[in-house]
Amino acid sequence: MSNLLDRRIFLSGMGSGIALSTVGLTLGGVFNNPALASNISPYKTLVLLELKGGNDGLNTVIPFMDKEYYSLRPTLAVKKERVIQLSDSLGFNPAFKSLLPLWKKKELAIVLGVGYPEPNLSHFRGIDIWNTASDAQQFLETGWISRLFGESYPGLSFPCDAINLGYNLLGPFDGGKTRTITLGNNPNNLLKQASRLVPNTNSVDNPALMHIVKQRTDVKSAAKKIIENRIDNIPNTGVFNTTKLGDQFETMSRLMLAGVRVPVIKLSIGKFDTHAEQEPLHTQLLKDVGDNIASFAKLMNGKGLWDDILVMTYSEFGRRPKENISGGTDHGTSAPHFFMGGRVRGGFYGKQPTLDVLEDGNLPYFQHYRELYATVAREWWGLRAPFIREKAIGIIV
Amino acid sequence: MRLNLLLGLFCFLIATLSSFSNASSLTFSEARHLLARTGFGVVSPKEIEKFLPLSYEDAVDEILSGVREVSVQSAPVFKANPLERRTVRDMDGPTRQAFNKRIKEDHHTLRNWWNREMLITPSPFTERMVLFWHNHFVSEASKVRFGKWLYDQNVTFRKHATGDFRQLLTDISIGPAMLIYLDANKNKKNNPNENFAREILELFTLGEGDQYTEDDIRESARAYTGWMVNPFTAKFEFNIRTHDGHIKTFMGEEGNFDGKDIIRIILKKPEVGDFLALKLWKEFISLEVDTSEVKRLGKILFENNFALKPMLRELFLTEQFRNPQIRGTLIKSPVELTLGTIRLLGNSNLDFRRLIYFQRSMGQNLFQPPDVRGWRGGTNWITSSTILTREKFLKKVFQGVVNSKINMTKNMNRDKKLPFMDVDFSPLLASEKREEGYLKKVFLAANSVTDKRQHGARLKTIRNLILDPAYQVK
Repeated sequence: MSNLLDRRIFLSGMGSGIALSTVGLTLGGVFNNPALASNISPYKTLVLLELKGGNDGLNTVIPFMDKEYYSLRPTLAVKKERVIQLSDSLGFNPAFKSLLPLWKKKELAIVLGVGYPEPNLSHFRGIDIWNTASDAQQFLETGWISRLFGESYPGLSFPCDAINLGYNLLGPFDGGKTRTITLGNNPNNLLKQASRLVPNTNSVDNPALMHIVKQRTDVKSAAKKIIENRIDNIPNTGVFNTTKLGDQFETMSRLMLAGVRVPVIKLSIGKFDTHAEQEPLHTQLLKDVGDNIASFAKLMNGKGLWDDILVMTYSEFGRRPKENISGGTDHGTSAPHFFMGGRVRGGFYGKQPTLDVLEDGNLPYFQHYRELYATVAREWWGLRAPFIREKAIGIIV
Repeated sequence: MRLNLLLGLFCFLIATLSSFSNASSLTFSEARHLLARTGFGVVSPKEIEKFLPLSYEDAVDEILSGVREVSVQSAPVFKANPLERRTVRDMDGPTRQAFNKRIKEDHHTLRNWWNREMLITPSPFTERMVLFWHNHFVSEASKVRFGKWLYDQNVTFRKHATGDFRQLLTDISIGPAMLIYLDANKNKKNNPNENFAREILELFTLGEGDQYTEDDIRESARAYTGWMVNPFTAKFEFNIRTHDGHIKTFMGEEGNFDGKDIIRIILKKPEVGDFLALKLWKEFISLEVDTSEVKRLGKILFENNFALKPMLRELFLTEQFRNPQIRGTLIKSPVELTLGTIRLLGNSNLDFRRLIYFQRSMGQNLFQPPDVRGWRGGTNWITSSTILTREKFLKKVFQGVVNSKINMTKNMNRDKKLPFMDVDFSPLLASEKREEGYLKKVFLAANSVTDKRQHGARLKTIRNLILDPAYQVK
């Protein structure tokens, strides 16, 4: 048996110039099979990080020169001297301290004022819109990744198209043909069990059963391939927080280190719905996010994998600029989001909304949220899809 | 012996006679469908046979009239007292740790208690409705904390399970669990907290859409001010000092409203009936919706002043519910899968800790829904991870069943053995022997997916049936 890294074969320049790849020598036969050709390079993994509940953007990237910020937030505002200043007007919440090295290395892009017209302030409608890449008045069921992969399929050389490590909803991977597997903290046991599943043999005709059958089929076939990568040989890295999010980063890292390559991995962290007693909870959440990303970047960098990774954050909405009397903030609209990775061109993008012209007490938006998706699709993967009408931001080198 | 035989003959005669005299009596598969869908997704042949002499309409009425307003069990004993809430802030480290431990133990006690209630209830439909309301008026144990408050809410769900939605909505809204969960307790004049005001419209009554505006949310949040949990009684109180006594405009009406006025105004909308009818349709019939039927059901609810029973009766009498095409099209929830299986197969070594662990791994930890919208249900129940956990659970139950059969005599008098557990498979297997394919009729609502052998009077048949993906649907 050859060693782990040698087991990846990468060929380029085939036919249309699209990279063709496979994982594992045992799949040697794939070279003759066009269905297995990849539209996505195995060295372009997207990591989606959902901040569930609506992250308070104003206390994440802080407009420390804006007097309005301090008057709208008598108890929640972060004092100017505590802000980690990134420019002459904006800075990080101190909880994001561990992200400073990434910022300095220009591997962290901050997209300001991300939102969309007629914003919806319901958690569920809000995240449905983000998940499906729809307009505020458009009701769709298929997730944006599934829609994108429906236009150009990543290719069967991947063990699966997406891995969900966060909570139990498929979100962006919902619907379509996307082969998503959900893994917990102990992926190895799960995969072993999956490889032993009794196969589906009879055809089924109702959607509920079709869904079950698809999940079984997908995880069984993914398991066979992933088990070959011997994730059980990869010890715990131990560099992440002992939190639910830290566990997800741990599993993802072990998969990456084992040489498992999939187009998308989704992580999530909850509790951002800070209606009351926002502090110290919000600080703890940001710290969890910042620390884990920083550890992940360092780890991947050390293994030469950081260039293969693009991390993107998102959340259903931001929060209202004016704090409420419960020491919290209610549902709001636009917010900043982040891209991180070895090929990211760091810096600020978009425009910070000023706090003197609010719309109904809420922030206007300047960057359509689908510009984030355009950036992922076109710049990261080189894919196009008509449903993403917005322009890519120009973040990937 | 002879008496038994005579009795058997007599029963056979009655059954035959009634099936001749009443042309519209239920078929086996109709009874199974009705009981499985109003119960825990699968049902024992004994239950089915009890219903066979009835007409379909009588069977529906039998289920509805069997609905209970109180639990079978008495209240659990909790270790943490809600009056302690006042003192939490001042607790020192060790005291707080001990307090948190008691809170956690209470959650466990409560989960045990409800699971056991669902297992022993003579009216599974009651508990299904309690579960429905638990997922409609969500609160999370992690935020509410006190088991006593969560229990009180559960009692309220049961009290009005198929009763008066108006009363249910009101009682739940002013229950400590909800006041704490949606921050109503923190909603004060001059600076209202909109959390409850939004969710009562979006999740409890009207649904997201154009029925109300952001202004309605802001204005009604002002009206709810003054609702609080009195820290010295741990009960609801209307505090006039924190109430905003000015004029509010809500859904086109103007007045010095308080929270109960707002509820009254919301319930003037017939759309509330439609919203609930739709949700119940998806719960009990299908994810495919017949809009005009839902509207008809919604109207029944509204016109009966939100009494639930007449509408539920109509729901189970719809052509759509009775249509054999919908059988096997809904995915069992983890609670249905686990408890339905245990109710059917029995398991003399049932360990509630394991049961709850499995339910949680399948994505349904009772009293801890994922967020205010509750468990999404439908295909969302099934990911690669949860389907594997489901199959693992079923294997374990089956192993337990087999082991208990072997150790039957040894374990007979263990107090772990619960009164409802019946692990004697001989009647099931005897029926299969008499009629090949009988077990499949009992266990599966859809055609099987694997080609494992699913007939023959042997225990392995049962294993193959519950491990078929078709067992996951109802």
